[in-house]
Amino acid sequence: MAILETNKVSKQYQMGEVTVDALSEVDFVVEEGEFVAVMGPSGSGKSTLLHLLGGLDKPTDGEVTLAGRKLSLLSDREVTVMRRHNVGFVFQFYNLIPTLTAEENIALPLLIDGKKLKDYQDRIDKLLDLVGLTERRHHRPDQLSGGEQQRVAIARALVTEPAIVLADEPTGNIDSKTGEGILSVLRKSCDELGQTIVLVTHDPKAASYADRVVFLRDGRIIDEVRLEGTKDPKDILARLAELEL
Amino acid sequence: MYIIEMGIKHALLGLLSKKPMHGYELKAEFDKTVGKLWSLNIGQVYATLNRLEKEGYITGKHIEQETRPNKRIFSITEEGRKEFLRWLLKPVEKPRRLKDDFYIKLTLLNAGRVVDVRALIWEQRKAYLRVLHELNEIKGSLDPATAPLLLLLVEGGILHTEADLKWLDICEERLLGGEN
Repeated sequence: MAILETNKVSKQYQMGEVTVDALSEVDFVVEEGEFVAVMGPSGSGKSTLLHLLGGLDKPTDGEVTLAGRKLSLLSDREVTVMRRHNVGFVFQFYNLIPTLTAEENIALPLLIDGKKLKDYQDRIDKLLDLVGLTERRHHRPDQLSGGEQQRVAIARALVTEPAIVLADEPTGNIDSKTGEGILSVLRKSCDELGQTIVLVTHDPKAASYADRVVFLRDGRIIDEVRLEGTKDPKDILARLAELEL
Repeated sequence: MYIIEMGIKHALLGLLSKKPMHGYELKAEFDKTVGKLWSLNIGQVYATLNRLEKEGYITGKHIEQETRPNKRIFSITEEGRKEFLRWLLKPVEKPRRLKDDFYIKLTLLNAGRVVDVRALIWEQRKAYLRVLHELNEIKGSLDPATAPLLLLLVEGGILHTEADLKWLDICEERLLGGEN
């Protein structure tokens, strides 16, 4: 089932007298449980696309359908509520509250929604475990490394069990080794929780963690590729030999 | 396979430097270590042993067996030890994949004028992304405690594939310029 769909979505910006086409008639479908990467150089329109997908911005033309609802038919207020319940965001910067612990930062979306935390302790524990921060749950952001802060941000994005997680260059601000940890956590949340994820990135390595990579150039989707892993772990050695590493 | 052609001689010398062995024993030892990745048949083992013996790096001794055919136990000579050490200490100078198949295709592209360079680069990029995805997954499945060397090999493969992808970006930029 498609959880997210765009139908001929275009976005134009006015730069003085010039009209810039940031996106041109983009048709993009994300199936439930899929991890999709949108890959393109800077200026290709990938962040614009992400903002439209998450209802942070409105298309000039076309329609975005999220979890079965056409965003153009909703009021601003309805879009905000829709976003809070159905979209988890992960950005390059973590935007954590400095005075709250890791655990409290993760729980924040639930508090904003007026939920009772004790009803959700199991979920929070599970997420702390998934992102590998159980031991550091009581640490504040300034006591955590960049990679750990980003993992808090990921758990916070997952805590409402959103229909989709939208990640914008989540490894853009950290070194490559730490970045691998972040990408593995995203991969795991897809594999173990069935979380649907859209990741936008310029980095092929980040994109390679996805199930499918869509290539964006000058505001258009020009190509895509499906990525599949080694199904049988017993074949690993044979496969490595084939790849002639 | 290429690596075998180049390395089998010294791999066998290395194994014999641990203890004398006969042909089948050597093959089993080889399979236990590198052989998991690069298969080697018993014919290649004997052919290489013959060559090593002629070069004076190993000596063979006949062992008579009553119920089974006689076998030969091979031991490494002093010359053989020196040769193994020389090979071990000599840096590998050949950069990987400098004569990449893809490069050869690029140079021949103009000959036919039938294939679009853009399409060639894109298909290659997709192929590398698939490899990278697979390597990430393999890396995730390997336990650093039980397979530390294999993990290093896979991590090396990941870095090389990343470099290949970056190189494709440069190819695209240089050959297609402002076209895209």
